[in-house]
Amino acid sequence: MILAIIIIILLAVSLIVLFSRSRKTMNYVTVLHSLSIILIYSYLLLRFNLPISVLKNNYLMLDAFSIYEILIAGIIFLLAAIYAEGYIKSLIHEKEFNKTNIKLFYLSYNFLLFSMVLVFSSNNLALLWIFAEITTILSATLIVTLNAKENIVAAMKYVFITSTAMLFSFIGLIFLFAASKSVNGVSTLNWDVLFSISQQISPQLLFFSFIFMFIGFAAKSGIVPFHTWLPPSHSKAASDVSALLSGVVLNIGIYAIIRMYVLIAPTSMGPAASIILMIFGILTVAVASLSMLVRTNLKKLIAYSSVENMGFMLIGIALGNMFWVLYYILAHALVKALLFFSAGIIHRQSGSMKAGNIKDILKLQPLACFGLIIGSIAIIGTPLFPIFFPKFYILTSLAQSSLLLCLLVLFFLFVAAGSFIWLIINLTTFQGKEKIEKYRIYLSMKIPIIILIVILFILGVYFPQGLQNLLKIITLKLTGN
Amino acid sequence: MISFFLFAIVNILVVLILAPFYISLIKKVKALFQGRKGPKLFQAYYNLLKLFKKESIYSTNSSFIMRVAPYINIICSIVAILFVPLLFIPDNYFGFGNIILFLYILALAKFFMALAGLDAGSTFGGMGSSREMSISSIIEPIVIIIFATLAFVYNSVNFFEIFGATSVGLVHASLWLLLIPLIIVLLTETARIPIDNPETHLELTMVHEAMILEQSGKNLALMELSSGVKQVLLMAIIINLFFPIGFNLPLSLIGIGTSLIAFLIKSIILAISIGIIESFIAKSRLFRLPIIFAIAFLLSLITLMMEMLL
Amino acid sequence: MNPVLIDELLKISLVLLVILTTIIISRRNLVSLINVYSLHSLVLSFIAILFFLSEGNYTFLFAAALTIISKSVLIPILLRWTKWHMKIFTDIEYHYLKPVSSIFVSLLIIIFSFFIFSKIKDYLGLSSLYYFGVIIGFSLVMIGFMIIFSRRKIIVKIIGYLVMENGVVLLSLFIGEMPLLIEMMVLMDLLVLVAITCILGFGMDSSMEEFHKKLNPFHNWFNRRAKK
Repeated sequence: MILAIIIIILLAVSLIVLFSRSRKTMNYVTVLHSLSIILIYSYLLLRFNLPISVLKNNYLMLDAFSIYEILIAGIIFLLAAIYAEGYIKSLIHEKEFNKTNIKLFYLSYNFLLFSMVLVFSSNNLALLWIFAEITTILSATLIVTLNAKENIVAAMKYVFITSTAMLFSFIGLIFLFAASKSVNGVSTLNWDVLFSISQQISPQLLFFSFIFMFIGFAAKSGIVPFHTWLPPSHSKAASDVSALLSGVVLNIGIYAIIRMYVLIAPTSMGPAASIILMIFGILTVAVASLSMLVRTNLKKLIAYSSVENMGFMLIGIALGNMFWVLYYILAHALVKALLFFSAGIIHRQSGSMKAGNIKDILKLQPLACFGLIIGSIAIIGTPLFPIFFPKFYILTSLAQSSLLLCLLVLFFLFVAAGSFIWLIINLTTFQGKEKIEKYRIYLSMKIPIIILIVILFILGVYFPQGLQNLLKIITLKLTGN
Repeated sequence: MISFFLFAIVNILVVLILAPFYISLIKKVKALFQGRKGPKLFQAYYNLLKLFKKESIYSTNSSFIMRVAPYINIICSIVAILFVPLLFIPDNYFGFGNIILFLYILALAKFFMALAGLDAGSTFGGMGSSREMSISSIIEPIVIIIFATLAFVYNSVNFFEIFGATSVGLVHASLWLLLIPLIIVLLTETARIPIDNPETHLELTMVHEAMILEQSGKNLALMELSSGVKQVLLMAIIINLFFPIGFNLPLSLIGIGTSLIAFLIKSIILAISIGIIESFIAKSRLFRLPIIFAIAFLLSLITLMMEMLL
Repeated sequence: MNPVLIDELLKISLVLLVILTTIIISRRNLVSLINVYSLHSLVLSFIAILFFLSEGNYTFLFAAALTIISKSVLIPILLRWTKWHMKIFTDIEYHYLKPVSSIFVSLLIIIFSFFIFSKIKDYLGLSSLYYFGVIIGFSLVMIGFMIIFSRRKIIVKIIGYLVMENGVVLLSLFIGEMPLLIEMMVLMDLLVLVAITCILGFGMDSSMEEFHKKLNPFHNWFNRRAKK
């Protein structure tokens, strides 16, 4: 039923995109599509008893965690679609966006949203794998709509690294499939069944398949050493696409890792899995923050910051601190969207992302500049912004298990924060000698930034009871305590 | 005892008589593929007869090595013949047939050939010797692994016992993987394309020919004959390992005759396919050779692994 | 059918797969690479048919048919089409490994996968032939991985990816067959992926001047206005 509704919406939207001639209509239906997804799934969350089975054999099933991720995706897609209205218009106006690519862009955008919804509602892990692969392809298509050679190179890198790594996770799936047979004699990949029998599966096989699954989905979310695709593809893509890639598509990897980790955590190999996640998490934070030091390209810096945050989430998962990891996912998506949207406006103004070419933006584009400053302050985990709480609590629980590691991570976080602040101060205070014309920014590009700033301020000081309950329910379901 | 003497006489005679035949057969096949008429099938015999009638000439710089090497070569080859049964297996084999000894006898012959190449002091001879030695040192591990696999599978390092086992039962499926490395070894040891070109006297491509460039008359005939013998022996190993039909029939005149005919048919087919292989591939550069050897190495090691596992 | 015969045939097909893989590693000619790949997939589907004969499960037969159609017909056609339009014939660019060293690396890979799987051999409960199939499958995956990382031409990288995929299919045949629905979707996904990468790779591999010209207006997307 739900599946039928969202398929019908998708079909209607893509038909309109295919046959309409004005870009404006395409953009409006895209906004409506995202809005309808948000409405449908919030309605499901509020009115129905979870989990809901969507497809026969429980191949697709919605539980609180899936709906939470879908809602985050919906919000970011909605804001990015609103932003795209003005952004794509100005790109076309400047002849930087090939007109023949408009339909492709909006089609991939809507299909990406649809496949994101399917990824998060897959109960069968093999289906999750397939939909994750499809999101890779669609994101690559979105990256290449800009049609520059750098974009093709970045997209190819993205597709090759992630799909190669994803093949390894398919091996993990095969092993999991074989291992599940030993329990009731029936092989299955349905997560809910696996979750109920995970303690009876041979822990060694489970661990083996966990490692392989981890390789693939770590590449999907840009964990070191598979992070090399992330900075080029996120920085070369159009800014609204970058926001999607960073805020939503990266979550797929973390989502799948959480699902897998929950399976292995109660068994005797649980600590070993935690150690692996911890090692890769710390490695990622270290490598990402050290590479942030030398960046002068704003979008690349933001992309590396995504890598760093993904690593931090891994640390949180390894500590079993699901509640705050889940909150972190939401906060990170919002802040990243804000940063990329502001960076997009700055890029429109100065035509470059490099420090030294960006001049006078504080005077010319005050909103984008404030967005950038607020976003940077938020992403480094300053109090009064939402990322502060999860960072604080995860670091506290890390300190409880090992003070030394906590200090190490803290050091790298300082490095990351320092490089962020350094670049932002450089960018915002650089003044050109000659007078620069103000670039006209459409209202639709400003609205999402304002909305995001407001949301961030509210979430920074007030933790809504509804959200708190939702996260508690999810945590209870995942960890059982 | 008697069966071993019979075996020794039959084996040596058959190999020595057949050896020149395959040389000209392969030449004929290649010529046909190139659209030429090619030499007569028995041309190699005429060549050898002619060479035997001529006297040997030695360079003034050469030492006794040059004079001894051809005889050592032919003696080694004749001893090696006793190690590889062609038609039947005698009841008792008095310690002959040891694979490792067989390999070292061939290596001894090759060593003296290389020394003779150096001995005359000509630049070509030295070049040929150094090339031949480097190639044979690369092919050595492959040969060892191939025979180690055989030894592992048949629990023996003796040709007589291994062939006794293959002639009774079916060959293991995974052993078929060894066929490719064995053919590569055959091509290498008999100095054929793509490793070496036996037909030219071009300094860029010569390996084996360069070594025996200084030999003449009887000595050259002995050298040619011994390389012919080596070729027949290696072909016989492949044939008796993989296609043992008609091999080792009950010991009687008819049995030996049938085995001989079967061997002739199989070996002619093998020689023709070698000719075809040679016609289809080009001689590769000396520095491209390692890839061929690497493939042979990989395949033989995988066979060993498969045999250990299954 | 006689189980002994099926076992022997399985062994022979595994041997063939190994031989074809070494050919893929060592060849530089693109035409023969593509042909060998389609043969590779054919052998794979033959293995699936053998599984059908021994277990009588129609999923295997269907999977074999799908494999033949998609991997030994459609994808090679696609690759040939791309290659024909790109006008390149040989691949002589390598990142790190020349063919000789890559053959030795693949040898190490096979030993390595043997080592890995010996750790979980007891938990899997497979017969030694199946176990060997699993090892070969995993080694194919790693060898494909090596091809992707050592070659520079996109079209050869795609072939490396496809070899990896074949390895995964081999693994799944020997460990436990996936449901048909998933099998089909994986193949669909593979087709789309290959199509997309072929189209994209076109712009990078191509030696044609016109294509570079076509990309040129958007070439310096990032610094164009700054330069002005």
